Amino acid sequence: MFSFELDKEQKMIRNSYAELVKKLVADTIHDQDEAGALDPKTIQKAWELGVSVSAVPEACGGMGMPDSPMQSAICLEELAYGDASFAIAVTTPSLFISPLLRYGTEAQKNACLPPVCGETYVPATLAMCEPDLAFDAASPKCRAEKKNGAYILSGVKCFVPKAKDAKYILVAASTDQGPQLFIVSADNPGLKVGDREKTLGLYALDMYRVTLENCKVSAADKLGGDNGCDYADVLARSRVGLAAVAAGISRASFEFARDYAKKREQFGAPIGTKQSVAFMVAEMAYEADAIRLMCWKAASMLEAGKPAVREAYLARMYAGEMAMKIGDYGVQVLGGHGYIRDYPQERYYRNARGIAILEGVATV
Amino acid sequence: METVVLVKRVPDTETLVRIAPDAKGILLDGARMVMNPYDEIALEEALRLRDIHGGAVCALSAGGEKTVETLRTALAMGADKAVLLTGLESGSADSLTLARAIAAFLRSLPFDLVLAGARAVDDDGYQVGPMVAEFLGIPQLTFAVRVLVEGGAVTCHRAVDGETVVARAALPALVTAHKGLNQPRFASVVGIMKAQKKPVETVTLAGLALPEGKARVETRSVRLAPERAGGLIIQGETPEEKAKVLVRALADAGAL
Repeated sequence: MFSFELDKEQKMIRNSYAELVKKLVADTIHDQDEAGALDPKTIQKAWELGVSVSAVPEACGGMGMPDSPMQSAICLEELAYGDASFAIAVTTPSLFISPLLRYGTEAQKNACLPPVCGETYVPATLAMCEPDLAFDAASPKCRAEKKNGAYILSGVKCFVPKAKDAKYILVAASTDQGPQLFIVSADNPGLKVGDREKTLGLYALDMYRVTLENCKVSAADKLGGDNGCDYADVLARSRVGLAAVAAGISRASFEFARDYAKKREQFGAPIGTKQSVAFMVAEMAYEADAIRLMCWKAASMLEAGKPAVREAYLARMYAGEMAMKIGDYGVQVLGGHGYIRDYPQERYYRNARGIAILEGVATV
Repeated sequence: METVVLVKRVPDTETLVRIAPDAKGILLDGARMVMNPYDEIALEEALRLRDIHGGAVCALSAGGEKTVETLRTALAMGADKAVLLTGLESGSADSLTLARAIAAFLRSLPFDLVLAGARAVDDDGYQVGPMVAEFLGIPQLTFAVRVLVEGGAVTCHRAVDGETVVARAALPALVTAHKGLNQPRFASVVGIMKAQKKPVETVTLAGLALPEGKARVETRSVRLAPERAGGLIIQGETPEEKAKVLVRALADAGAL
């Protein structure tokens, strides 16, 4: 039977992440966002919950459980309900671990997974976005030329989360066989991590511009070796991840606006009793649910081993558009309070704006 | 070291409390139920002690089918096994009945330490832990903010009026955990998955040799605390002016 009901484990996992957000994130995230830095101790605590490594074989430091895009989507939503920067930072290693798990050769998994799958949070990331007006994630401008049995990468990447501290960066580059991913170590002399990006939202998440100049990687560092990887699938998983983040921001924005509209009185009655406000809140409610349903559909198809390129694309596109609308309405319901930084609505609004822009910052 | 942790399923403290139509209790349908936060602290301490001294941690709770969820949470946090005592109809059991039942069961179990929350956030009785210790005839150290187990004894710190009382008791003993003892862990994904495979044993009260004894406490009625009246904000341009208004208000209230 077709069901939207989460199973027992999924509910417990959701509750555990929700508890962590409630106890460790909710009260402090405003200051972390203002300061432009996340508390490393909280990231470590969230890392220990283990969604990023649950599917990693035990020999590589993980838990050896089946890969579950649904589980990842549930966790990402809960983390993003607290804060999108926090959600993305905590799961940034997944951007590296997840494609490696699916497509890495045994040698790649054995070499690269253990250092980033331990008990301590060690960032590894994915460089997908490019600072190009006509950027299309499906055909990166960054090139990988094969030369004397190695690859020379050249190009510029932007919005690469945690690049400065990353042990490995998975770089998306075009090859003669289409776009592929390359494992680049932090100490590669051809890799330059530039300044931190100054962004409209996600203040607390450090993202960087990364330049690849004559960056030589061995043929063995092409993800999947000779077989390469299914780049469209990696992209799809990233898009489902982004949709899950959007679901979290949207739910947070909706709930805050709903509670505010019930309490805030104007002209002798709560503003929520005015249709102009109530309609906005209702729209936020159903769009937030719609984002989640589209996200879960794509995630459950991936979980069933079916290709979900189309569903992932639609989920992310819808999520990007609706998260903006929800964020906008959230600010509007609060009026002046929505515009000042003392209330979380403007943060939701700023962070939601990034969903439609960013690629490769979250994955399931 | 064998440790038993008493855990209780309670409504989340953020749940909006609704009084039942017969005013004898509160309505729990739809309320989010969680493990009593003080019991989480007790469980965390048990897990910490197990990591140091080895042995196993058993989570014990009494209640209906739904209580298994709370025990699963304990297992997901790291408890090795769980026991559910059934047969105590909710509402009919007071702390005394419950403590008798728990003690009767614990007599059948080898243990070195029993840990419990200092209080449960639903009815704030503070009683079950100490009563269990009494029935078992073992020492009890309550409101622990620090616990050390060494050489067959347990030492606990308890904060009293800004001072610390350090008390020591030979094992087996019962300790109740207070805020500040530790920060309970969150159940991890792998812990949750493993918890589904760990055993939850169900024990019915009928099978225990329970001493005779009826509940001594009867709930007559439950009502919400009256809403607090709004405070008085003293208005005035200058401190002197405000002080005058305040003095007048105090006098009017008969406080001067």
